Amino acid sequence: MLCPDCGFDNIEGMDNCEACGQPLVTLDPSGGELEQSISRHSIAILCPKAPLTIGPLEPVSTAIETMCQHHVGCLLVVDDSGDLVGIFTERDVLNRFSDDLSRLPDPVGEFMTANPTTISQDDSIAYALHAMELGGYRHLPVVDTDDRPIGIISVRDILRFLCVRFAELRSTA
Amino acid sequence: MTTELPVLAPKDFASDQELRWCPRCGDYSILAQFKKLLPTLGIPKEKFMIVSGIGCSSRFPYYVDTYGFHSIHGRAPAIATGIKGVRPDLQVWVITGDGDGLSIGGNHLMHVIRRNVNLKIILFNNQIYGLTKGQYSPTSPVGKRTKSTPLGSIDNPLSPLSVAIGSEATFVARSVDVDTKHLIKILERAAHHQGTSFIEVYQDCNVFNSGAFYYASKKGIKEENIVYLEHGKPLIFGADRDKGIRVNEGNRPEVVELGSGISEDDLLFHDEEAQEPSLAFMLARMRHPEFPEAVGVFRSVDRPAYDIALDEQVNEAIEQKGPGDLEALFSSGDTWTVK
Repeated sequence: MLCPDCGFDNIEGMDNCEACGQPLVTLDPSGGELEQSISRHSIAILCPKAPLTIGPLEPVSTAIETMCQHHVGCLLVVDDSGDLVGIFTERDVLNRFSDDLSRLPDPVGEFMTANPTTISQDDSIAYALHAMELGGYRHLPVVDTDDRPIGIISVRDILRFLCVRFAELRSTA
Repeated sequence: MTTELPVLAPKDFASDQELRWCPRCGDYSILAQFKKLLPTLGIPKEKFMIVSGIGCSSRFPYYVDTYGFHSIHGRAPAIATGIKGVRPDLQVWVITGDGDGLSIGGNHLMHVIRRNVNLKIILFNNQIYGLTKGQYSPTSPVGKRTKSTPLGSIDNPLSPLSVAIGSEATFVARSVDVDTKHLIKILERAAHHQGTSFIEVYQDCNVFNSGAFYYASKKGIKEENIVYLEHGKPLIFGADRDKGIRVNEGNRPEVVELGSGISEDDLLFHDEEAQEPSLAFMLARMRHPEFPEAVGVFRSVDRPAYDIALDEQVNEAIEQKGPGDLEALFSSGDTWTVK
Protein backbone atom coordinates (compact mmCIF):
# COMPACT_ATOMS: atom_id res chain seq x y z
CA MET A 1 0.00 0.00 0.00
CA LEU A 2 1.73 3.12 -1.23
CA CYS A 3 1.50 6.19 0.96
CA PRO A 4 0.05 9.02 -1.15
CA ASP A 5 2.16 11.55 0.70
CA CYS A 6 5.66 10.08 0.78
CA GLY A 7 5.34 7.09 -1.53
CA PHE A 8 6.58 4.61 1.09
CA ASP A 9 5.44 1.06 0.32
CA ASN A 10 3.65 0.01 3.51
CA ILE A 11 2.48 -3.52 4.19
CA GLU A 12 -1.24 -4.05 3.54
CA GLY A 13 -3.48 -3.24 6.46
CA MET A 14 -1.32 -0.51 7.99
CA ASP A 15 -3.35 2.29 9.51
CA ASN A 16 -0.61 4.84 9.35
CA CYS A 17 2.30 5.19 6.98
CA GLU A 18 5.38 3.69 8.61
CA ALA A 19 7.62 6.37 7.12
CA CYS A 20 5.68 9.61 7.53
CA GLY A 21 2.81 8.69 9.87
CA GLN A 22 0.06 9.86 7.53
CA PRO A 23 -3.23 7.99 8.08
CA LEU A 24 -3.93 5.32 5.49
CA VAL A 25 -7.25 4.04 6.85
CA THR A 26 -9.38 6.47 4.89
CA LEU A 27 -7.50 5.84 1.66
CA ASP A 28 -9.98 4.88 -0.99
CA PRO A 29 -8.28 5.28 -4.32
CA SER A 30 -10.43 4.98 -7.44
CA GLY A 31 -9.22 1.40 -7.76
CA GLY A 32 -10.87 0.51 -4.45
CA GLU A 33 -14.29 -0.19 -5.92
CA LEU A 34 -12.80 -2.14 -8.76
CA GLU A 35 -10.73 -4.17 -6.34
CA GLN A 36 -13.81 -4.81 -4.19
CA SER A 37 -15.83 -5.98 -7.16
CA ILE A 38 -13.37 -8.70 -8.13
CA SER A 39 -13.59 -10.25 -4.69
CA ARG A 40 -17.33 -9.69 -4.40
CA HIS A 41 -18.23 -11.27 -7.74
CA SER A 42 -17.87 -14.95 -8.39
CA ILE A 43 -16.76 -16.71 -11.54
CA ALA A 44 -20.40 -17.39 -12.41
CA ILE A 45 -20.85 -13.75 -13.43
CA LEU A 46 -18.36 -14.30 -16.25
CA CYS A 47 -20.70 -16.94 -17.70
CA PRO A 48 -17.94 -19.48 -18.39
CA LYS A 49 -18.13 -20.95 -21.87
CA ALA A 50 -18.86 -24.64 -22.26
CA PRO A 51 -15.47 -26.31 -22.59
CA LEU A 52 -14.30 -28.04 -25.73
CA THR A 53 -12.98 -31.43 -24.74
CA ILE A 54 -10.85 -34.17 -26.24
CA GLY A 55 -9.81 -37.63 -25.13
CA PRO A 56 -6.19 -38.19 -24.04
CA LEU A 57 -5.65 -40.80 -26.76
CA GLU A 58 -6.80 -38.59 -29.62
CA PRO A 59 -3.96 -37.48 -31.91
CA VAL A 60 -2.51 -34.09 -31.25
CA SER A 61 -3.30 -33.14 -34.86
CA THR A 62 -7.00 -33.42 -34.05
CA ALA A 63 -6.53 -31.23 -31.01
CA ILE A 64 -4.81 -28.48 -33.00
CA GLU A 65 -7.38 -28.73 -35.76
CA THR A 66 -10.23 -28.38 -33.25
CA MET A 67 -8.60 -25.36 -31.62
CA CYS A 68 -8.17 -23.65 -35.01
CA GLN A 69 -11.69 -24.49 -36.08
CA HIS A 70 -13.28 -23.05 -32.95
CA HIS A 71 -10.80 -20.21 -32.44
CA VAL A 72 -9.99 -21.26 -28.91
CA GLY A 73 -6.68 -21.31 -27.07
CA CYS A 74 -7.16 -24.56 -25.22
CA LEU A 75 -8.99 -27.86 -24.94
CA LEU A 76 -9.80 -29.76 -21.79
CA VAL A 77 -8.64 -33.35 -21.83
CA VAL A 78 -11.16 -35.74 -20.27
CA ASP A 79 -11.12 -39.51 -19.87
CA ASP A 80 -13.90 -41.91 -20.77
CA SER A 81 -15.76 -41.23 -17.54
CA GLY A 82 -15.73 -37.47 -18.12
CA ASP A 83 -13.10 -36.72 -15.48
CA LEU A 84 -10.68 -33.90 -16.20
CA VAL A 85 -7.18 -35.28 -16.66
CA GLY A 86 -5.42 -32.35 -18.31
CA ILE A 87 -5.50 -29.21 -20.37
CA PHE A 88 -3.95 -28.75 -23.82
CA THR A 89 -3.15 -25.13 -24.65
CA GLU A 90 -1.44 -23.03 -27.31
CA ARG A 91 1.52 -22.95 -24.99
CA ASP A 92 1.73 -26.75 -24.99
CA VAL A 93 1.79 -26.62 -28.79
CA LEU A 94 4.72 -24.21 -28.71
CA ASN A 95 6.68 -25.68 -25.80
CA ARG A 96 6.05 -29.40 -26.03
CA PHE A 97 5.20 -30.15 -29.60
CA SER A 98 6.79 -27.66 -31.99
CA ASP A 99 10.25 -29.27 -31.62
CA ASP A 100 9.17 -32.35 -33.52
CA LEU A 101 6.29 -31.79 -35.92
CA SER A 102 6.43 -35.43 -37.02
CA ARG A 103 4.62 -36.33 -33.80
CA LEU A 104 1.28 -35.07 -35.11
CA PRO A 105 -0.29 -38.54 -34.82
CA ASP A 106 0.85 -38.98 -31.19
CA PRO A 107 -1.77 -38.84 -28.43
CA VAL A 108 -2.59 -35.45 -26.98
CA GLY A 109 -2.16 -36.93 -23.51
CA GLU A 110 1.60 -36.85 -24.06
CA PHE A 111 1.65 -33.09 -24.62
CA MET A 112 -1.05 -31.83 -22.28
CA THR A 113 -0.53 -30.27 -18.86
CA ALA A 114 -1.79 -32.95 -16.49
CA ASN A 115 -3.87 -32.20 -13.38
CA PRO A 116 -4.48 -28.54 -14.18
CA THR A 117 -5.39 -25.97 -11.56
CA THR A 118 -9.17 -25.61 -11.50
CA ILE A 119 -11.71 -23.27 -9.98
CA SER A 120 -15.36 -23.51 -9.06
CA GLN A 121 -18.19 -21.22 -10.12
CA ASP A 122 -18.39 -19.95 -6.54
CA ASP A 123 -14.78 -18.82 -6.40
CA SER A 124 -14.18 -15.10 -6.63
CA ILE A 125 -12.76 -13.44 -9.72
CA ALA A 126 -9.91 -12.27 -7.48
CA TYR A 127 -9.03 -15.88 -6.70
CA ALA A 128 -9.04 -16.77 -10.40
CA LEU A 129 -6.69 -13.87 -11.10
CA HIS A 130 -4.45 -14.99 -8.25
CA ALA A 131 -4.38 -18.57 -9.60
CA MET A 132 -3.58 -17.30 -13.10
CA GLU A 133 -0.79 -15.10 -11.85
CA LEU A 134 0.63 -17.83 -9.63
CA GLY A 135 0.76 -20.47 -12.32
CA GLY A 136 1.25 -18.21 -15.32
CA TYR A 137 -1.99 -19.47 -16.88
CA ARG A 138 -4.33 -17.78 -19.32
CA HIS A 139 -7.09 -20.36 -18.97
CA LEU A 140 -8.69 -22.04 -16.00
CA PRO A 141 -11.13 -24.94 -16.18
CA VAL A 142 -14.28 -24.46 -14.10
CA VAL A 143 -15.37 -27.64 -12.35
CA ASP A 144 -18.47 -28.73 -10.43
CA THR A 145 -18.55 -30.24 -6.95
CA ASP A 146 -17.54 -33.63 -8.40
CA ASP A 147 -14.54 -32.04 -10.15
CA ARG A 148 -16.18 -32.49 -13.55
CA PRO A 149 -15.41 -29.71 -16.05
CA ILE A 150 -18.39 -27.48 -16.74
CA GLY A 151 -16.72 -24.45 -18.27
CA ILE A 152 -13.59 -22.57 -19.09
CA ILE A 153 -12.57 -18.98 -18.42
CA SER A 154 -9.75 -17.08 -19.97
CA VAL A 155 -7.90 -13.99 -18.88
CA ARG A 156 -9.79 -12.23 -21.66
CA ASP A 157 -13.10 -12.89 -19.87
CA ILE A 158 -11.71 -11.18 -16.78
CA LEU A 159 -10.34 -8.30 -18.81
CA ARG A 160 -13.76 -7.81 -20.34
CA PHE A 161 -15.36 -7.79 -16.89
CA LEU A 162 -12.85 -5.23 -15.63
CA CYS A 163 -13.42 -2.96 -18.64
CA VAL A 164 -17.19 -3.00 -18.11
CA ARG A 165 -16.83 -2.37 -14.36
CA PHE A 166 -14.32 0.39 -14.99
CA ALA A 167 -16.71 2.10 -17.42
CA GLU A 168 -19.57 1.78 -14.91
CA LEU A 169 -17.47 3.29 -12.15
CA ARG A 170 -16.36 6.13 -14.38
CA SER A 171 -19.94 6.91 -15.33
CA THR A 172 -21.11 7.01 -11.71
CA ALA A 173 -18.10 8.98 -10.42
CA MET B 1 -30.02 0.17 45.52
CA THR B 2 -29.03 -1.99 42.57
CA THR B 3 -28.07 -0.82 39.13
CA GLU B 4 -29.36 -2.94 36.29
CA LEU B 5 -27.13 -3.54 33.33
CA PRO B 6 -28.45 -2.01 30.12
CA VAL B 7 -29.79 -4.59 27.68
CA LEU B 8 -27.35 -4.71 24.79
CA ALA B 9 -27.77 -5.97 21.26
CA PRO B 10 -25.21 -7.05 18.64
CA LYS B 11 -25.43 -3.63 17.01
CA ASP B 12 -24.17 -2.09 20.24
CA PHE B 13 -20.89 -3.88 19.63
CA ALA B 14 -20.52 -2.64 16.05
CA SER B 15 -17.81 -0.02 15.79
CA ASP B 16 -17.79 2.95 13.46
CA GLN B 17 -14.72 1.66 11.64
CA GLU B 18 -14.89 0.78 7.96
CA LEU B 19 -14.41 -2.95 7.47
CA ARG B 20 -11.38 -3.54 5.32
CA TRP B 21 -11.57 -7.26 4.76
CA CYS B 22 -12.15 -8.48 1.22
CA PRO B 23 -15.80 -8.99 0.29
CA ARG B 24 -16.94 -12.57 1.08
CA CYS B 25 -14.04 -13.15 3.47
CA GLY B 26 -14.78 -15.75 6.15
CA ASP B 27 -13.80 -13.21 8.81
CA TYR B 28 -17.16 -11.45 8.44
CA SER B 29 -19.03 -14.49 9.64
CA ILE B 30 -16.82 -14.92 12.69
CA LEU B 31 -17.21 -11.23 13.53
CA ALA B 32 -21.00 -11.47 13.20
CA GLN B 33 -21.22 -14.44 15.58
CA PHE B 34 -18.90 -12.72 18.02
CA LYS B 35 -21.06 -9.60 18.08
CA LYS B 36 -24.13 -11.77 18.62
CA LEU B 37 -22.46 -13.53 21.54
CA LEU B 38 -21.17 -10.60 23.58
CA PRO B 39 -24.55 -9.12 24.61
CA THR B 40 -25.66 -12.52 25.87
CA LEU B 41 -22.84 -12.89 28.38
CA GLY B 42 -24.15 -10.39 30.91
CA ILE B 43 -20.83 -8.61 31.09
CA PRO B 44 -20.66 -4.80 30.98
CA LYS B 45 -19.37 -3.58 27.64
CA GLU B 46 -16.37 -1.86 29.17
CA LYS B 47 -15.21 -5.15 30.68
CA PHE B 48 -14.40 -6.71 27.30
CA MET B 49 -10.93 -6.50 25.86
CA ILE B 50 -9.81 -7.82 22.49
CA VAL B 51 -6.11 -8.23 21.76
CA SER B 52 -4.76 -9.17 18.36
CA GLY B 53 -1.42 -9.54 16.60
CA ILE B 54 -0.86 -8.84 12.92
CA GLY B 55 -2.72 -10.19 9.92
CA CYS B 56 -6.13 -9.89 8.31
CA SER B 57 -7.89 -11.41 11.31
CA SER B 58 -5.98 -9.14 13.65
CA ARG B 59 -7.97 -6.13 12.44
CA PHE B 60 -10.79 -7.62 14.53
CA PRO B 61 -10.49 -5.22 17.51
CA TYR B 62 -11.26 -2.24 15.25
CA TYR B 63 -14.59 -3.73 14.31
CA VAL B 64 -15.94 -4.43 17.77
CA ASP B 65 -16.93 -1.51 19.96
CA THR B 66 -15.04 -2.61 23.06
CA TYR B 67 -11.58 -1.92 24.37
CA GLY B 68 -8.99 -3.47 22.09
CA PHE B 69 -5.34 -3.62 21.19
CA HIS B 70 -4.04 -4.32 17.67
CA SER B 71 -0.62 -5.27 18.91
CA ILE B 72 2.66 -6.78 17.72
CA HIS B 73 3.11 -9.70 15.36
CA GLY B 74 2.64 -12.93 17.31
CA ARG B 75 2.71 -11.20 20.68
CA ALA B 76 -0.99 -10.91 21.44
CA PRO B 77 -0.83 -13.79 23.99
CA ALA B 78 1.95 -12.05 25.93
CA ILE B 79 0.17 -8.70 25.95
CA ALA B 80 -3.14 -10.32 26.86
CA THR B 81 -1.42 -12.16 29.73
CA GLY B 82 -0.21 -8.83 31.06
CA ILE B 83 -3.67 -7.32 30.80
CA LYS B 84 -5.30 -10.27 32.51
CA GLY B 85 -2.61 -10.26 35.18
CA VAL B 86 -3.41 -6.73 36.31
CA ARG B 87 -7.09 -6.69 35.42
CA PRO B 88 -8.52 -10.14 36.19
CA ASP B 89 -12.00 -8.63 36.08
CA LEU B 90 -11.83 -8.19 32.30
CA GLN B 91 -12.92 -10.80 29.79
CA VAL B 92 -9.99 -10.89 27.41
CA TRP B 93 -10.19 -12.35 23.91
CA VAL B 94 -7.14 -13.00 21.75
CA ILE B 95 -7.57 -12.94 17.98
CA THR B 96 -4.85 -14.51 15.90
CA GLY B 97 -4.26 -16.32 12.64
CA ASP B 98 -2.31 -19.36 11.51
CA GLY B 99 0.75 -17.28 10.64
CA ASP B 100 0.56 -14.86 13.56
CA GLY B 101 -0.24 -17.53 16.14
CA LEU B 102 1.73 -20.53 14.96
CA SER B 103 4.74 -19.07 13.19
CA ILE B 104 5.68 -15.61 14.39
CA GLY B 105 4.06 -16.12 17.78
CA GLY B 106 4.26 -19.89 18.14
CA ASN B 107 6.32 -19.70 21.28
CA HIS B 108 4.00 -17.20 22.96
CA LEU B 109 0.96 -19.26 22.09
CA MET B 110 2.44 -22.42 23.58
CA HIS B 111 3.26 -20.72 26.87
CA VAL B 112 0.01 -18.89 27.31
CA ILE B 113 -1.80 -22.20 26.87
CA ARG B 114 0.35 -24.19 29.29
CA ARG B 115 -0.01 -21.43 31.89
CA ASN B 116 -3.78 -21.64 31.50
CA VAL B 117 -4.23 -17.89 31.55
CA ASN B 118 -7.92 -17.05 31.57
CA LEU B 119 -8.04 -15.93 27.94
CA LYS B 120 -10.24 -16.87 25.04
CA ILE B 121 -8.11 -17.44 21.95
CA ILE B 122 -9.65 -17.64 18.49
CA LEU B 123 -7.23 -18.78 15.81
CA PHE B 124 -8.51 -18.02 12.31
CA ASN B 125 -6.98 -20.76 10.18
CA ASN B 126 -7.04 -20.02 6.45
CA GLN B 127 -3.81 -21.89 5.66
CA ILE B 128 -2.27 -18.85 3.96
CA TYR B 129 -0.74 -15.44 4.64
CA GLY B 130 -3.56 -13.34 3.20
CA LEU B 131 -2.54 -9.84 4.25
CA THR B 132 0.79 -10.11 2.47
CA LYS B 133 -0.95 -11.60 -0.56
CA GLY B 134 -0.60 -15.32 -0.56
CA GLN B 135 2.54 -16.87 0.92
CA TYR B 136 2.36 -20.33 2.54
CA SER B 137 1.71 -20.51 6.26
CA PRO B 138 2.54 -23.08 8.97
CA THR B 139 -0.79 -24.80 8.28
CA SER B 140 -0.55 -24.90 4.47
CA PRO B 141 -0.68 -28.50 3.27
CA VAL B 142 2.28 -30.26 1.66
CA GLY B 143 2.33 -29.55 -2.06
CA LYS B 144 0.53 -26.21 -1.73
CA ARG B 145 1.71 -23.86 -4.46
CA THR B 146 1.94 -20.28 -3.33
CA LYS B 147 4.03 -17.26 -4.16
CA SER B 148 6.69 -18.42 -1.73
CA THR B 149 6.40 -22.11 -2.65
CA PRO B 150 6.21 -22.01 -6.45
CA LEU B 151 7.00 -25.73 -6.72
CA GLY B 152 4.71 -26.71 -3.86
CA SER B 153 5.29 -26.65 -0.11
CA ILE B 154 7.59 -29.34 1.29
CA ASP B 155 6.89 -28.33 4.90
CA ASN B 156 4.88 -30.62 7.09
CA PRO B 157 2.00 -28.46 8.38
CA LEU B 158 1.25 -27.84 12.04
CA SER B 159 -2.10 -28.82 13.43
CA PRO B 160 -3.25 -25.94 15.65
CA LEU B 161 -5.22 -28.30 17.86
CA SER B 162 -2.28 -30.66 18.28
CA VAL B 163 -0.20 -27.70 19.43
CA ALA B 164 -2.90 -26.67 21.89
CA ILE B 165 -3.46 -30.17 23.25
CA GLY B 166 0.29 -30.79 23.41
CA SER B 167 0.52 -27.64 25.53
CA GLU B 168 -2.08 -29.15 27.88
CA ALA B 169 -4.87 -26.75 26.94
CA THR B 170 -7.88 -27.01 29.21
CA PHE B 171 -10.40 -26.03 26.53
CA VAL B 172 -9.88 -26.96 22.88
CA ALA B 173 -12.47 -26.62 20.13
CA ARG B 174 -12.88 -26.29 16.40
CA SER B 175 -15.57 -24.77 14.22
CA VAL B 176 -16.10 -23.51 10.68
CA ASP B 177 -16.65 -19.88 9.69
CA VAL B 178 -19.89 -20.42 7.79
CA ASP B 179 -21.35 -22.93 10.25
CA THR B 180 -22.80 -20.02 12.18
CA LYS B 181 -25.03 -21.86 14.64
CA HIS B 182 -22.22 -24.19 15.63
CA LEU B 183 -19.66 -21.41 15.79
CA ILE B 184 -21.66 -19.24 18.19
CA LYS B 185 -22.21 -22.23 20.50
CA ILE B 186 -18.48 -22.92 20.56
CA LEU B 187 -17.70 -19.26 21.24
CA GLU B 188 -20.20 -19.31 24.08
CA ARG B 189 -18.63 -22.40 25.62
CA ALA B 190 -15.22 -20.74 25.37
CA ALA B 191 -16.52 -17.56 26.98
CA HIS B 192 -17.67 -19.48 30.05
CA HIS B 193 -14.54 -21.61 30.46
CA GLN B 194 -12.15 -20.78 33.31
CA GLY B 195 -8.63 -20.95 31.90
CA THR B 196 -7.29 -20.72 28.36
CA SER B 197 -9.91 -21.49 25.74
CA PHE B 198 -8.44 -22.30 22.37
CA ILE B 199 -10.67 -22.34 19.30
CA GLU B 200 -9.52 -23.06 15.78
CA VAL B 201 -11.90 -21.71 13.15
CA TYR B 202 -11.61 -22.92 9.57
CA GLN B 203 -11.80 -19.67 7.64
CA ASP B 204 -11.98 -19.20 3.91
CA CYS B 205 -9.61 -16.70 2.30
CA ASN B 206 -11.55 -16.36 -0.91
CA VAL B 207 -8.82 -14.42 -2.70
CA PHE B 208 -5.62 -16.32 -1.96
CA ASN B 209 -6.75 -19.76 -0.82
CA SER B 210 -10.32 -20.14 -1.91
CA GLY B 211 -12.06 -23.37 -1.01
CA ALA B 212 -9.37 -24.67 1.34
CA PHE B 213 -12.12 -25.95 3.63
CA TYR B 214 -14.72 -26.60 0.96
CA TYR B 215 -15.09 -30.18 2.13
CA ALA B 216 -15.98 -29.01 5.64
CA SER B 217 -18.21 -26.07 4.79
CA LYS B 218 -20.24 -26.82 1.67
CA LYS B 219 -23.72 -28.11 2.40
CA GLY B 220 -24.29 -31.47 0.79
CA ILE B 221 -20.61 -32.34 1.03
CA LYS B 222 -19.63 -31.51 4.58
CA GLU B 223 -21.97 -34.10 6.07
CA GLU B 224 -19.63 -36.81 4.82
CA ASN B 225 -16.48 -34.95 5.83
CA ILE B 226 -17.03 -33.69 9.35
CA VAL B 227 -18.16 -35.29 12.55
CA TYR B 228 -19.74 -33.17 15.28
CA LEU B 229 -18.41 -33.94 18.75
CA GLU B 230 -20.96 -34.16 21.54
CA HIS B 231 -19.95 -35.05 25.06
CA GLY B 232 -21.06 -38.56 26.02
CA LYS B 233 -22.36 -39.38 22.55
CA PRO B 234 -21.03 -41.70 19.85
CA LEU B 235 -19.19 -40.26 16.87
CA ILE B 236 -21.70 -40.59 14.04
CA PHE B 237 -21.60 -38.78 10.72
CA GLY B 238 -22.80 -38.93 7.13
CA ALA B 239 -25.79 -37.38 5.39
CA ASP B 240 -27.81 -40.42 6.47
CA ARG B 241 -25.98 -40.71 9.78
CA ASP B 242 -24.94 -44.16 8.74
CA LYS B 243 -21.23 -43.99 9.51
CA GLY B 244 -19.24 -43.76 12.67
CA ILE B 245 -15.79 -43.77 14.21
CA ARG B 246 -14.66 -46.84 16.08
CA VAL B 247 -11.37 -47.48 17.85
CA ASN B 248 -9.86 -50.69 16.50
CA GLU B 249 -7.68 -53.28 18.22
CA GLY B 250 -4.57 -51.31 17.34
CA ASN B 251 -6.07 -48.44 19.35
CA ARG B 252 -6.51 -46.39 16.21
CA PRO B 253 -9.66 -44.73 14.88
CA GLU B 254 -11.38 -46.23 11.87
CA VAL B 255 -14.45 -45.34 9.85
CA VAL B 256 -17.19 -47.94 10.01
CA GLU B 257 -20.65 -48.23 8.51
CA LEU B 258 -23.48 -48.71 10.92
CA GLY B 259 -25.62 -51.79 10.45
CA SER B 260 -24.41 -55.22 9.39
CA GLY B 261 -23.26 -56.14 12.85
CA ILE B 262 -22.01 -52.73 13.95
CA SER B 263 -24.20 -50.70 16.27
CA GLU B 264 -23.83 -47.30 17.92
CA ASP B 265 -22.61 -49.04 21.07
CA ASP B 266 -19.51 -50.19 19.18
CA LEU B 267 -18.52 -46.63 18.33
CA LEU B 268 -16.21 -44.26 20.09
CA PHE B 269 -18.05 -42.18 22.68
CA HIS B 270 -16.76 -38.67 23.11
CA ASP B 271 -15.54 -37.60 26.53
CA GLU B 272 -14.49 -33.97 26.50
CA GLU B 273 -13.87 -34.07 30.24
CA ALA B 274 -11.23 -36.83 30.13
CA GLN B 275 -8.21 -35.63 32.09
CA GLU B 276 -5.92 -37.70 29.87
CA PRO B 277 -5.65 -35.73 26.59
CA SER B 278 -5.04 -38.78 24.37
CA LEU B 279 -8.60 -38.97 23.08
CA ALA B 280 -8.65 -35.27 22.17
CA PHE B 281 -5.26 -35.68 20.48
CA MET B 282 -6.43 -38.67 18.48
CA LEU B 283 -9.52 -36.78 17.33
CA ALA B 284 -7.42 -33.76 16.37
CA ARG B 285 -5.27 -35.99 14.18
CA MET B 286 -8.20 -37.25 12.09
CA ARG B 287 -7.68 -35.47 8.79
CA HIS B 288 -9.65 -35.25 5.58
CA PRO B 289 -9.87 -37.22 3.28
CA GLU B 290 -8.87 -40.30 5.26
CA PHE B 291 -11.25 -39.40 8.07
CA PRO B 292 -14.07 -36.98 8.70
CA GLU B 293 -12.59 -34.05 10.61
CA ALA B 294 -13.96 -33.46 14.08
CA VAL B 295 -15.61 -30.15 14.99
CA GLY B 296 -16.88 -29.16 18.40
CA VAL B 297 -15.34 -29.24 21.85
CA PHE B 298 -12.44 -31.69 22.00
CA ARG B 299 -11.47 -31.04 25.59
CA SER B 300 -12.89 -29.12 28.50
CA VAL B 301 -11.26 -29.77 31.86
CA ASP B 302 -10.69 -27.82 35.05
CA ARG B 303 -7.27 -26.64 36.15
CA PRO B 304 -6.35 -23.56 38.20
CA ALA B 305 -6.07 -20.49 35.99
CA TYR B 306 -2.80 -18.57 36.00
CA ASP B 307 -4.31 -15.13 36.57
CA ILE B 308 -6.31 -16.31 39.56
CA ALA B 309 -3.23 -17.96 41.09
CA LEU B 310 -1.22 -14.82 40.38
CA ASP B 311 -3.84 -12.64 42.00
CA GLU B 312 -3.89 -14.87 45.07
CA GLN B 313 -0.12 -14.89 45.26
CA VAL B 314 0.08 -11.10 45.07
CA ASN B 315 -2.66 -10.63 47.67
CA GLU B 316 -0.93 -13.08 50.01
CA ALA B 317 2.37 -11.27 49.59
CA ILE B 318 0.69 -7.91 50.31
CA GLU B 319 -0.95 -9.41 53.39
CA GLN B 320 2.36 -10.68 54.69
CA LYS B 321 4.70 -7.88 53.65
CA GLY B 322 2.42 -4.92 53.04
CA PRO B 323 1.98 -3.05 49.76
CA GLY B 324 5.15 -2.75 47.73
CA ASP B 325 7.15 0.38 47.12
CA LEU B 326 8.40 0.57 43.56
CA GLU B 327 10.94 3.31 44.26
CA ALA B 328 12.34 1.34 47.18
CA LEU B 329 12.54 -1.75 45.00
CA PHE B 330 14.46 0.14 42.35
CA SER B 331 16.96 1.28 44.94
CA SER B 332 17.34 -2.10 46.62
CA GLY B 333 19.78 -4.93 46.07
CA ASP B 334 22.81 -4.51 43.85
CA THR B 335 22.91 -0.89 42.75
CA TRP B 336 25.77 1.10 41.33
CA THR B 337 26.56 4.73 40.93
CA VAL B 338 27.95 5.40 37.49
CA LYS B 339 30.59 8.11 37.63
